[in-house]
Amino acid sequence: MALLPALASAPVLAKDAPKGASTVLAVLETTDLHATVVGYDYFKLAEEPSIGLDRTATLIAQARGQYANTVLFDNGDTIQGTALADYQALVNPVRCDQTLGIYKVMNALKYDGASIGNHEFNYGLGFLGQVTGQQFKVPGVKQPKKCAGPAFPQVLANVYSVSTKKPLFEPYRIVEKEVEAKDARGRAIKAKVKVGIIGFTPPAIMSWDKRWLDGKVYTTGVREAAEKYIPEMRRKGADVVVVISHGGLDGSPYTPDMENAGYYLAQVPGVDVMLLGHSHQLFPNASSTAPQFNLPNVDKVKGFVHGVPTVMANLLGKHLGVVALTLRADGKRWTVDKDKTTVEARAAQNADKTFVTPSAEVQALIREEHDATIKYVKTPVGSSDFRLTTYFVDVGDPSAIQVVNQAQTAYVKKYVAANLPQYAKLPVLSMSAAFKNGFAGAFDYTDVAAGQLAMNNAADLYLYPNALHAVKIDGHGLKAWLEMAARRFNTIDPAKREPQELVNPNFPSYNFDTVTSDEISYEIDVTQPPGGRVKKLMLHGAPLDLAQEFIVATNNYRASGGGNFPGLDGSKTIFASPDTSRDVLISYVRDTKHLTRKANGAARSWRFAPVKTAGPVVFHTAPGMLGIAQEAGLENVSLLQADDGLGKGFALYAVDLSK
Amino acid sequence: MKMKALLLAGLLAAQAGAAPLEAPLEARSAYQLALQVRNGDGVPADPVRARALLTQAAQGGVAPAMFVLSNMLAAGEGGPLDAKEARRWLEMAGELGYPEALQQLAMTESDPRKAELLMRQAAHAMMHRER
Repeated sequence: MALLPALASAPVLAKDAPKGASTVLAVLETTDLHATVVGYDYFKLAEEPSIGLDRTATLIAQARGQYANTVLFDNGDTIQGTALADYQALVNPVRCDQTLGIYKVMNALKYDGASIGNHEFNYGLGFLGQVTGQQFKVPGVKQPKKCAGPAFPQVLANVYSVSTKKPLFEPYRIVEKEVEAKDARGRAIKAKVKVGIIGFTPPAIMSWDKRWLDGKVYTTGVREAAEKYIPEMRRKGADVVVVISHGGLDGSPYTPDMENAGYYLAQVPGVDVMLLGHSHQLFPNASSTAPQFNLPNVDKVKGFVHGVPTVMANLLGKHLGVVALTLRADGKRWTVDKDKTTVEARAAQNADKTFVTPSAEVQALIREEHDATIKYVKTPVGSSDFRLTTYFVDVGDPSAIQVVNQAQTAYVKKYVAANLPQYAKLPVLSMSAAFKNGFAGAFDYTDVAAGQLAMNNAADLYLYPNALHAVKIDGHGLKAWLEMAARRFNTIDPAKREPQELVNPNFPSYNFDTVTSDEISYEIDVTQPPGGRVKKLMLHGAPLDLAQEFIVATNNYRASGGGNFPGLDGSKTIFASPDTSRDVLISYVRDTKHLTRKANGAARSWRFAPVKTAGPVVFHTAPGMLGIAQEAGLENVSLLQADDGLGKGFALYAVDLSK
Repeated sequence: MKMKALLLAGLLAAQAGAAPLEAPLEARSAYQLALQVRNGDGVPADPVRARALLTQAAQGGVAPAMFVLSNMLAAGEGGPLDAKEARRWLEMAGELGYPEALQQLAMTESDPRKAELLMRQAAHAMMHRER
């Protein structure tokens, strides 16, 4: 090969779009990365290979190896969604001279452009302006200095500043891309393609992020913005117009506040490629049954919407969108040879279920921020001398429930003492339930090891994004509440010799509220039909006076009517806390410092009413956990089968109701 | 990430562009009265009337009313059990960004990915609840 004259193989630099020339340009898309720079679960503190830009980076490299000419765009919802994002925005905010972690990585991956998703607004316009290197001119936001931002353009055509009446970001950009092409005689040449990008975000940001955006910016409809700017882009010489719309498809009639306007955007003249996102779907997707992918003029197999090649690359870096365009030049400009376009969404998961190798370069670039985030979520807030789990919560183990109830009780008592003196004499109780109780599989339980407790454990102990609420009820209300919760169980026939399932799967665990307090005790008689099961309800060892009033700490879901518990519909709420239930728990652990089994994991407010059954009463939980039941003092639990035979990984246990 | 805006669009049109959570006074009053009637708070408890009042409030755009109404319909309280209507009002309340409705949709969603998204929406909506 060395014999070949160097000049013969060197591409000739010709004019931008020489007549008869052709080339292939692959348009690559990532979307809804949600700050998932690496495949890692910050609450489980474990690798999560199914997600992460570190693996998408490998797909990007592969596509660049395959196609000589590529442009790479991100659809948005980029900067929010992981503990890493919160760390860089809220805990240890990135400085003006620092580039936000994910943008730093995207710079290294040489993105050519991006749009702005709705979640970009979640931390407010001050933060967004800073990390995107913008200087927004909007009321109440001062940005005298341009901070470090992405090295690629960010475009958004349908969000305007109230002050300037101009788009907050540049609405579009024409990216000039040098490409390797062939001239009319098939010789290698260099040429230039002008790729116009325009971005859109859902107009509903105005309500989703009202507190940040109200009075500062306004939106226009997505289609209206496209109709306004695309002709302008064409006039300015865009050969190819790539629409980057943070929205999916929706066949409903178009309105200017439409969230997923892709179906209508594709019908705006002048659109060559559509990159979609926001609805976290995969397109093209031949096997999808989603109604919006089965609309007229949507080709879910080949990836076309009204004839426009369209891709949506799922979420969290799971896929890379690849639209390969064949371009032909007429001497003035390039046009797309539509018949030769191919559209793919390439998965980071291989056919054999393994995943592509992550990019070590990406991992190295984000290492410092990643480690700092882990340190942040691992910061101990306290410790425990026992393992907090929900494997046996249905048969009375309070180990993962009691601390939540204690935290809620302490919080409400304090609040009432300070702010609601009229209720100062009422007993304060707390209700909570196991949110992780095998719904998603045998792994889906709360399980926090003994030892140090950190923020990530709090998420395991309190899964849902609730706020603490307190309600005032009387003894009737309390009994009715407990009766409702006791519907968790099937009615057991003591005479029956066959095994009987204890738990009614139609009554979810998150509605099995229990008290875990020395003040209250009761029995649940599962031989009785629902509504007549709560027996021997005592307050301080004496039968409960049904006229007695209580304050009960719970969450906003329950207090507002979730689960349809009698009388709970918002009308009993005396206090809606500004603090989340999880934060209430974290502060309690922080204040208590050391949790002990005796003080924080052994309160048995309720027991089954003793009854001898002719056959076994059975339930399913994770295998290999009998020791946990024993540690919790549940001597009436035994293992029947290490595999319950139902194929979901559960073991079969029995509970002896006579003990 | 939000569900179809179709229902919401119709509702907003009826409200002439009012913010979703700022329902008309009449609807809000119906909601307050409905809770009293449902609970027998100062008036005789009457679940049938409570359901009618909640329907009125829900039709007027009161998201908390939609949520309670949905629960009553699902349980057959104050009238026949109607799972379809219950689901419709739940989704409508979710459309309006009512966190409890989004949470309920998340908790009852069998697809873990969709469930997670809905729960994120619920978390997001909670962040924006005025306190």
